[in-house]
Amino acid sequence: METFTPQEITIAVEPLLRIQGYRDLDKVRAPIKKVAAKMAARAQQLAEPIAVYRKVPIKSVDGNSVTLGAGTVFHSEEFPRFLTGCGEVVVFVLTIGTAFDAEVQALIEEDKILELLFFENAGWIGVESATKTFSRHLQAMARQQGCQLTRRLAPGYQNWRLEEQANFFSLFETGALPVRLLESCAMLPKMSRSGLYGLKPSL
Amino acid sequence: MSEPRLKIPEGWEERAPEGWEWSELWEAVEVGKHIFTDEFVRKAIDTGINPRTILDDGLFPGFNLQGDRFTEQIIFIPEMLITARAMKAGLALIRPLLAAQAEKPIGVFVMGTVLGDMHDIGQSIVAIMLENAGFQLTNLGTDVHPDKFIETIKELKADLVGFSALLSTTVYYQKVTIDEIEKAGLRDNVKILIGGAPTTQDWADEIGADGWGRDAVQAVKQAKRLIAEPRTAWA
Repeated sequence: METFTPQEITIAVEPLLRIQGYRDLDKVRAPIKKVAAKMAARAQQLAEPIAVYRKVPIKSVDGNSVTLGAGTVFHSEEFPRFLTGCGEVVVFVLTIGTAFDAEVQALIEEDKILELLFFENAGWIGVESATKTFSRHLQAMARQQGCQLTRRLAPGYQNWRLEEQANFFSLFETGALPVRLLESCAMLPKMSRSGLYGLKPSL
Repeated sequence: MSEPRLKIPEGWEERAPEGWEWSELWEAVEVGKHIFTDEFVRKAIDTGINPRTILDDGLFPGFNLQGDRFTEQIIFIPEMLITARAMKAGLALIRPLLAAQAEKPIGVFVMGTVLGDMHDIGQSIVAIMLENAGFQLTNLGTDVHPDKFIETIKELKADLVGFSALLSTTVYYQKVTIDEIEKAGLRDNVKILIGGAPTTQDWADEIGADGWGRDAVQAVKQAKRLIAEPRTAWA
């Protein structure tokens, strides 16, 4: 199992406002811009991104299921399209840290709903940014071994049932992850992401 | 797309003391001046204006105007939240007075995000809008097990329950939760509203929900519609 710390994550104000539907940012009311800027800065300050990952060989891709080396089987309609021809997958768990959950709770308790809106959005922008940095790291690693990275696939998305998250987490050493899986298959900290990338030999 | 206009309550002058003006409060709620709203509502209470009149004639016009603008996509969620905060400041003063006049909330609403889903903000926005619309609201938070919904519905004798889900796979738990409510024998006592990014009216129909809220404003409209519909009374 390896660890990667994304260094260059960016949580900017512009995308925060665009997510809310604003096209002309000059027309956004000053108090709204101010809160968005404050929450973007707070999120940037609190973010402690980390990704834990490992490579696992693919045994087979059969129908809508993929069987990994240790015998773990996952199901999604997207597997044949993206994982056929891949020899391995990189499975990962990524988070931007526990401080976000504490801040969200504090904002809820203080009834600061506008701040909460922007802060939660900022958190997801942070996760997205950390994922991009992590993905670039994996792409570089894949190139070195003559491979390319497929699209990211994850339990809870693309018809890959969330219930398979428990099996997914079993691919990692117990207790070594920065993310905890709940019985419901949701993750804590909330600002976390799990998933896999296929490693396909370059033509 | 037409610019919504402020709907001035008909006959408001007859319900207010001579020389009284609501226009400053309408604007304060509209633009979200919560401190001014608090002060103005206190002044209205001290003047002896009926709390129901303060709510209907003073607070709702600006709030409803922003709701209409939101529906027309002239404003977005942040503006709506600023308005909601001002509305809430006024309501906090009015609510105990309404209760003292034996005015009941328009309905008891239980809501939460379904099992497996940790997304909070969407339902928090709906919660604040429902409270402002006069519902007694209990927000169970995220990752809520169907049993918890059932327990709370029973305990509070809820009129409505709402489930939010943001993941395409956790919307399935909206169906599971409805099925469990049915099995618990509560389906006729409570109206069910669903929402969340992957949901649609078709999905709501498919899983047997009574209504679908496309956004927070629509959720409130749906809740008001559903509360007027017949259902089995709680024993």
